[in-house]
Amino acid sequence: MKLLLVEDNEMNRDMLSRRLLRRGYEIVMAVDGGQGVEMAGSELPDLILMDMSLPVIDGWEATRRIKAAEATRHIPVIGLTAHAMAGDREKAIEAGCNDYDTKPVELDRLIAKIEALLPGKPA
Amino acid sequence: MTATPSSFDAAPQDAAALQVAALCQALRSPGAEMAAVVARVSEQAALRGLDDAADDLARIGKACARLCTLIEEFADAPRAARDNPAQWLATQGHWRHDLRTPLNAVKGYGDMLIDDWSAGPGQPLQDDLRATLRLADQLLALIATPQETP
Repeated sequence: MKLLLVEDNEMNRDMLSRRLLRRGYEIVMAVDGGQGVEMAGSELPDLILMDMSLPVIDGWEATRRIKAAEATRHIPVIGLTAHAMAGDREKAIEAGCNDYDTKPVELDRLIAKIEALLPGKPA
Repeated sequence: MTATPSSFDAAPQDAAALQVAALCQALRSPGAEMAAVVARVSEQAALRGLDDAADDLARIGKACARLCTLIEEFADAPRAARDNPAQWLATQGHWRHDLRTPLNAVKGYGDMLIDDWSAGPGQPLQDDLRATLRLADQLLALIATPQETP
C-alpha cells in the first residue's frame, strides 16, 4: 500500500517514514504543501498523511486542492498536526481531511486510522 | 497618549505570569533529565559498538536540545506577559505546537531503538530509553490543555 507523507520537518519525515516502512507500507514523501498536491496527482497514493503546518501551501489548502481535483479527490487524507486544540479537528475535516491525528504520533493509533480508511487493503 | 495599565488590569496579567513561571519550572526538570539520559545512552551505545544507532541517537539528542532551548525561551514568558499581554496571549498556541515537534521526534526514534534493541548488546539500554519516553510523556502532560483531542 502506497502512502504519501507530506511533512516539512526533516526529522519527523525521516522517523515516521521509517516506522511505516517497517510496518510494510511503501512511502513516498513531499516536503511542502505544493509538492504534496503535485505528488498526489503523479503518484496516486492509496492514502495521504498530511502535516497541516507546511510551507508554500499549508496542509488545509493542499487538502482542499487534492479534494477539488477529479483525479485525486478519492484519496483519503489524514491530517497530522502538532496543534491539539478542540477546533483543529473540525478545521481539518472542513478542509476535506477524512480523519485527523495529533503529534506526537502514536504509531498503532495512526495505523488503526489508516486501516479504517482502507479496509481490506494489506500494508 | 500612552495608556498606563491600572492596578485593576495588572492583577490578571501578574496571575498569568506567575502561572507561566510555575509551568516553566515544572517543564525544566523533565527536559533537562531527558537530555542527560539521552547523553548517557549515546555514550553507552558507542562503548557497546552500536554504531548503527549513532545517527538516531544524535537526532534524539538534537530534539532534546531543541526542547531545552524552547523551554528556556518560554521562561521569558512572565516578562513578556507583563510587558505585552496581547502579544503573549497570541503566542500561547505556538509554544505548545513548537514543543510537540521535537517531542514527536524523541518518542518516534526512541520507540524505534527500543524495538531494535529487543535483543543483543543494546538490550541493557532499553530501560534508559523507556525512561526517556516516560519523561517525554510527562512533558506532554504538562503542555496538554483540557481542550485537547487525540
